[in-house]
Amino acid sequence: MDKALNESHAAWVLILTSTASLMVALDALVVATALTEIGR
Amino acid sequence: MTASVAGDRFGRRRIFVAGMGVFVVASAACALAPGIGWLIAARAVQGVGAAIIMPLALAQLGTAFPPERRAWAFGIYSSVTALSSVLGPVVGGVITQDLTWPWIFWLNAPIGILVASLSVRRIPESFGPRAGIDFLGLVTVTCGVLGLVWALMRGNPAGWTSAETLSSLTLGLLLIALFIAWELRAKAPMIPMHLFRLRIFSAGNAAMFLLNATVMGTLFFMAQFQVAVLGQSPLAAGLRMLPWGIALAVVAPQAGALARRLGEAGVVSLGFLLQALGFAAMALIAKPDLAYAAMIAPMVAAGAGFAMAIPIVQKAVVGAVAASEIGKASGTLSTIRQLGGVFGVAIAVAVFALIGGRATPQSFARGFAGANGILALLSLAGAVVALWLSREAIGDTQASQAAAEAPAGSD
Repeated sequence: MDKALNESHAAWVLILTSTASLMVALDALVVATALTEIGR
Repeated sequence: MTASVAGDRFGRRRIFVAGMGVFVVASAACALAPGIGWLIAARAVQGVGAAIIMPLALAQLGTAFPPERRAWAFGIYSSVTALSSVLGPVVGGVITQDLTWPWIFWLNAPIGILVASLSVRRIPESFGPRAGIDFLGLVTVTCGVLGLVWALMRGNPAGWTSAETLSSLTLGLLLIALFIAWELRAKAPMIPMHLFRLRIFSAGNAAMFLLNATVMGTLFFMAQFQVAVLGQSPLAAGLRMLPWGIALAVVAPQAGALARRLGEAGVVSLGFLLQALGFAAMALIAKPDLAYAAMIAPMVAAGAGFAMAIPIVQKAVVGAVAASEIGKASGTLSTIRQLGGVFGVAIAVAVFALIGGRATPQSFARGFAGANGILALLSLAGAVVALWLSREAIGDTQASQAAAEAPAGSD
């Protein structure tokens, strides 16, 4: 039971930290792509 | 790094969620910015949010998985993060072409709110050893880095021997020296210097610095090159960067298996070499009438090289320290990564401005080639640094454990 709970927590940690990291990295790249447009 | 210490002390999940809040609010401020000054200020606050999120994501990941499953977890984490390299340029292109640029920043709001609310409900709270917050370290390193970056950015317009450049460079170097001297003596240092006695930790951080420096340096110019020199629309520029992102997303999950066959040092070094090859080729072919097909192989090489190296470096650094020091190690790695990105862009911009400029497509192409050339050299330096990642992990971890237990006050 504890092991299953730990595995469930670990899976959520992986999903949520990966998504957060994706959001931050995505922001940097999206802004880099749009830099010329923002500059105008 | 300060966020990492705060996470150890007040709860990693709590500070992670707070970082998400800062990032989302600052993103909204960016979207609503009435002028460039406001946008820059809001973007700086957004950077603070990102600087809180990234080390705590790594620290929570490092503690949620046992050592034997960490390589797998970091591989997944890196692969998901790598999706940004596929999605980022395309999403950026679509938004700037079909919507308006503020939508770039609104994009973060639903994702951030969803992750924050689910984190509160699904992630258990965790703590690390309690330590004070090192304000003097924070001020000296921030001002020192600002001085160095200022000198790099102003070197060309103001002159490399001008009083402005030389004084900011000198001040930056002095403050960095002061920072290191203070960190060696501080009771609760921002960056725990004893960890740098671990060869894998030091080499991993140096490799991370160079990896992020090179990738941020090239990404800063790649889309601009496509728009300003090759005359592409923002969306077409984004789509044309897909080979880099696809190579990254495909190769990153295979990095762990490659490391088992070639060793961590071998894979990271090979990754840097591939990346150097890609940048060098791009430097050689960059010109205003460049055919897109010629850019594909260099982009694939650079993307695959980066993807081979990044998860292995993360895993090696976190795995090199004792469990009680994972928070500090993640914070240090994240700080070094951010610094690498800042210096990479600053160096690439300095070389771009020295060799070329934005006046004409020809001068932009010259500058872009120069920037890629210097990034290729930095990648070669990374290939050498990576050789120090060779296996010594068990001894290193034991040394880290001993060092962690030496000072009183750990949890």
